[in-house]
Amino acid sequence: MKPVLVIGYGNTLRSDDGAGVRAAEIIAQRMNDINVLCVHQLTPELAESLAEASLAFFLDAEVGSTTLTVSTLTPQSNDSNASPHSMNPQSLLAMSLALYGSAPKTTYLIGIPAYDLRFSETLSSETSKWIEPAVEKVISLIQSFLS
Amino acid sequence: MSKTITISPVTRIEGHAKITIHLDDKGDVADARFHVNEFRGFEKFAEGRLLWEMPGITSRICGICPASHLVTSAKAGDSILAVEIPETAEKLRRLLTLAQWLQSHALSFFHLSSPDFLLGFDSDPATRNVFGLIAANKELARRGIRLRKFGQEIIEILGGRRIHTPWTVPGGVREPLNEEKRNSMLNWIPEAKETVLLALDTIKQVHKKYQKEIPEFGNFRSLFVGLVSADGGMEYYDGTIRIMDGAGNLIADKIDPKSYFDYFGEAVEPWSYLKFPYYKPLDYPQGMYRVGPLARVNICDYIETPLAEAERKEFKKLGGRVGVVNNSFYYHYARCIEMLFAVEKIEQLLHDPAIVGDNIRAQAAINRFEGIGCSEAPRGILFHHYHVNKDGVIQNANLIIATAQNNLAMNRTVQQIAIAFIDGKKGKISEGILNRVEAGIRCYDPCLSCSTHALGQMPLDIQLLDVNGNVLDEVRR
Repeated sequence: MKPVLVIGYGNTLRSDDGAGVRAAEIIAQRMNDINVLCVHQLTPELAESLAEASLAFFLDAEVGSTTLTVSTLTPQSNDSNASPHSMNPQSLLAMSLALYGSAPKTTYLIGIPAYDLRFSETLSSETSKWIEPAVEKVISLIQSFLS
Repeated sequence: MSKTITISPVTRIEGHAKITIHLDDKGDVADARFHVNEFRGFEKFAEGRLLWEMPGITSRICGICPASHLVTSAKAGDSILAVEIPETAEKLRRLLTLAQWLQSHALSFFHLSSPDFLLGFDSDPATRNVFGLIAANKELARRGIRLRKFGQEIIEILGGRRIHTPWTVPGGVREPLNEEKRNSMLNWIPEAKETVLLALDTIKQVHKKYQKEIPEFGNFRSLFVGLVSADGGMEYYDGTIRIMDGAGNLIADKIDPKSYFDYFGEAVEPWSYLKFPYYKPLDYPQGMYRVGPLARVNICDYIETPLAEAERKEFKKLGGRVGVVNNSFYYHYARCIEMLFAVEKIEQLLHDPAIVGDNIRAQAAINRFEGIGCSEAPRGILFHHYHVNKDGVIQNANLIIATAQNNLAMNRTVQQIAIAFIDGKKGKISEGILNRVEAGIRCYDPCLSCSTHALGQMPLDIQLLDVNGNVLDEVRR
């Protein structure tokens, strides 16, 4: 069981929406002994992986933001429209807690600025420059946690 | 003065839809329509692309049943290449198709419909969702998630990723299955079987609990259409088309799927992007037919795996003397039987030595300019029909999707539920009524993203309209 879980999510066919996936792929290349998942959207199956983690990261594209954002998340099950297709990170944490009795002690949401959501398999130049800072931030937080 | 009720958006379905309920001048329900108001146009932008790209392109139609599009598109490609694919490739495609059934049916039963079953049609909508389900029956919710995960893992192991894998291709598949991965799939079988048996037990309890609702949930005679094997068994990958009526008479049998256009037409209505397929000899709209689990379990003479076959015999008793189950509520039961079949058949396939063979692809150039692929997607029979030029460039594509084929029946179901439960004289839609209408649609597990090739959203609207089209009440969620 690996204590650190990184989930990058987004649609890689919609340009900058795939920023979280791209950053997660790089983290997977640079770090061993962590669990990295790249998904299109957040679905209930991820709750099981969350229940096994002590530290978790959700990496997502953030429209309207001009800088990298880092926030901590807590479980919230008050999403009455919680759908098996498109859950949000807080609902997923709540599901992990409700189904398996545990959730990561600390969970971060890393928001990567997104500027262009048109059809494309590449990131815009503006979003691309935020990928490395996002990767470094996550790795730094993981190293602090592990030490 | 007549009125119309609109339910918009419809929730816990795959796609975006609206329901309008039309009242006559006495305030009684005169008509009800299920509107699908999204459009994407995959058939058009497939034109100009290469045949070999089509499985990858068409799988993007849907995030729920991409594997069904992959397989069906590849089969249309096989036809154009004029090849018979290797035994291992066919068995691997069969495995993929069943994994697709399993994960899609698990989602429909455990997550989309179970909140209705376990919490009740009149329960608080704020908790009638997956969290409410967890609170009511944690074990069922957890097992449902795991069962879906099993289906997804097979797809991921075969194709390299859970959705939109480009693994099937005209002529076969891209990668073989090795022993280690086969064994990891086999490890899931006992748990998966237990979970499906739990689902079957649950749905039988639901049948007892909702004896008042069930008779009004799409209870009418129609044709049933699906694939069967050469000797009439349940089929999901190949076979021929069988058409049965609501009294159990075989209207047509052993139809080559390549001649589907001789039997089925597509009507359009100005109020929906979803087409209305019909059986041509009976004309539109009398040629209404149903596809998917209810149809498949109704039309087959047997199911080849023992536990599912025993359940099929139980199911047929619901059809009384004629042995045909005409009530759409029993889609859920049929879906559970198919999950059981899928688990049993997956186990059989994984024990077949050919499944780990390495001859997986037949190579050929363009040998025909037209090809039709057909398979059973989770929601029913699926056709891909392509025309290509000598270089394999798509000139024309026609996709006939399962959900669209249930369109007439879904409209009829909404109408029946509206007549049974809506008191139009009040001019209001109660939450319980709203949910009953939605639940009628959910019996079919419609995938509107597929059927209109539309971007998927989940909401539903219901409008109540008077005879002049004035909106008397509207509920959105």
